[in-house]
Amino acid sequence: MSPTLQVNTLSAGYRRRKVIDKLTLAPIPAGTVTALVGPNGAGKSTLLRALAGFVPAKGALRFGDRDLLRETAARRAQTVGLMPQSAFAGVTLTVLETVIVALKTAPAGGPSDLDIRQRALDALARVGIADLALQPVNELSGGQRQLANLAQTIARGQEIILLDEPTSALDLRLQMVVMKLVAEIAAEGRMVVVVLHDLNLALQWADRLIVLGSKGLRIEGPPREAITPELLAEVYGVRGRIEACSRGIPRLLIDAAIDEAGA
Amino acid sequence: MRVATVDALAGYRRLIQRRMVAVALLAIAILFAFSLDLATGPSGLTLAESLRALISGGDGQAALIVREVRLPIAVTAVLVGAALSLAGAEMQTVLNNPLASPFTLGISSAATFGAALAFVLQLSIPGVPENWVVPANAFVFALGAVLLLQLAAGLRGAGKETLVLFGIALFFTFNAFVAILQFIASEQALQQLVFWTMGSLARATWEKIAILAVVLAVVVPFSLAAAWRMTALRLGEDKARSFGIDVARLRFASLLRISLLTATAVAFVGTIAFVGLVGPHIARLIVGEDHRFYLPASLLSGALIMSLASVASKAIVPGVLIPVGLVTALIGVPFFVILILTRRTGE
Repeated sequence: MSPTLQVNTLSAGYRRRKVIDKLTLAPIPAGTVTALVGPNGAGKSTLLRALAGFVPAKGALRFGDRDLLRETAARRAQTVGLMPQSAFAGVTLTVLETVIVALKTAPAGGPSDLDIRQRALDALARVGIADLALQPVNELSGGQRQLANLAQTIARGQEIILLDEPTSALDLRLQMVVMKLVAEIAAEGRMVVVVLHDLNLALQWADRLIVLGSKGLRIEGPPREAITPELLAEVYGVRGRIEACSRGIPRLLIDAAIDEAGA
Repeated sequence: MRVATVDALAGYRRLIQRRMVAVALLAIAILFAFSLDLATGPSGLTLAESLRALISGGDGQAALIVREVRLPIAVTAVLVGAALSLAGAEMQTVLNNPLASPFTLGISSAATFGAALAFVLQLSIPGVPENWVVPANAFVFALGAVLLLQLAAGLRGAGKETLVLFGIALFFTFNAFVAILQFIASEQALQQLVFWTMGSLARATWEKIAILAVVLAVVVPFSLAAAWRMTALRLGEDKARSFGIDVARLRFASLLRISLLTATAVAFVGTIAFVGLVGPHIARLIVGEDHRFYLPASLLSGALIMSLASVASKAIVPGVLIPVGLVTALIGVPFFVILILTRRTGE
């Protein structure tokens, strides 16, 4: 059986502010897409960064029988790959080089230079930007940069992929391209945890949903069960409906923000 | 897609080859500048005469001039330029700031303060032989300045701007300390100090050259070994971390190398402005940011600039050796201004 990621009474945050407080989640299975959603400031990015070891964390974080919190950054990065929100500001390396760097700095050392170049190009081809391989990354559009960022993250083939808002800078088509890719990666048996703001994307693509509210975990489970009008009101402060579209797919419709009087 | 892939691989190979050629051309340019440096001087020896005197050896006047004056100056120019420029290159990467250099962030000023303590107050580290007191003091203070920068870099929420401001604060603080020492200094000490701050290759000796060469020989391999990790750091701290790089350790090791290179160079030749800033920028323009090429190219660019500056310092006013620190500043300032004016916003 493939290992699961277990989060138990995990606390994480910054010196003056604990963002994640004793969070316990159901084991996250490999081969699934888990969407991490919630309003701004709920701690989605912090949780992701804690899982990757970017912010100090206490509690228990295990992958199979491995205690991730006790492992070195290098060891953990062999298993966990995080795609940060923004990347490549002012970087004049070519797109291909940014992926080669990711592969060359892999702790295992690994394959020959020629293999690495080919693997880097394969990763670019996979996100559909092989033709941009020799473009300086700072000359790309925001969306292309996001794709390069994604290619770099998936290139190393880690078992756990953490994506922080991978669709935020993307147009409608690229959002679909990226989410399809996310589903494919999961289908390979890898685990994907992805922060999303668009709940419709979560409804459409995620196997599981983790909803963080202002007081920590609000609910987790299959997206269609987790997202309810009550949840929308409580966590997001909006009045919304979930309705099946003409093809029977549930769609989220937001009607209004609930004002402070609760009207 | 297949065709694009093959093209991209070939294109990347060409890119690498171009960079190798560029680095080789830089090295050849240094040979020319070095030869020019050997052939320039008040005694009017030509390059051919200099080389002949050098090869045949002996104790003739020509041989003596070349062996004890021209050659040490020429070698020191190359080594100091290499050290300062490599230090600047690493600094610009670890501080993620294209305007960082040993000079702009106050490290040279700290070294000057250390030297001033020795000149004016005869303060020194116990046990250091007398003729090494100035370099030793300069070295210790340069190292201290780097550690302060490191501390600032570790402060939570310290962005790029904070670091630059901190470097500027160091710069002005140490300059103020130096001014105070100048104020109370005896005439003789003041003269020594002022001359020291101008940066001069005339202090070159074979002993100092040996130390500089050893420092470079020790530091450069570590620097090159970190090339991939440094390139990763160029992509941003988060990116580097996501690759499993211990960023704090990488940064600390780099700052250690920077302080060794800067402190040694500044200790022996005084304040040399702008080489540490300009060298890396020239390298970046020529070979880009892949640190396998960027670091060597920075080192070579710095060596080339210093070697040319050494020639200029002898040639501008025939018969007079202008302190090389003045010449590098004169060359550096226009470049610096152009750099600021053409730098794209948002970078």
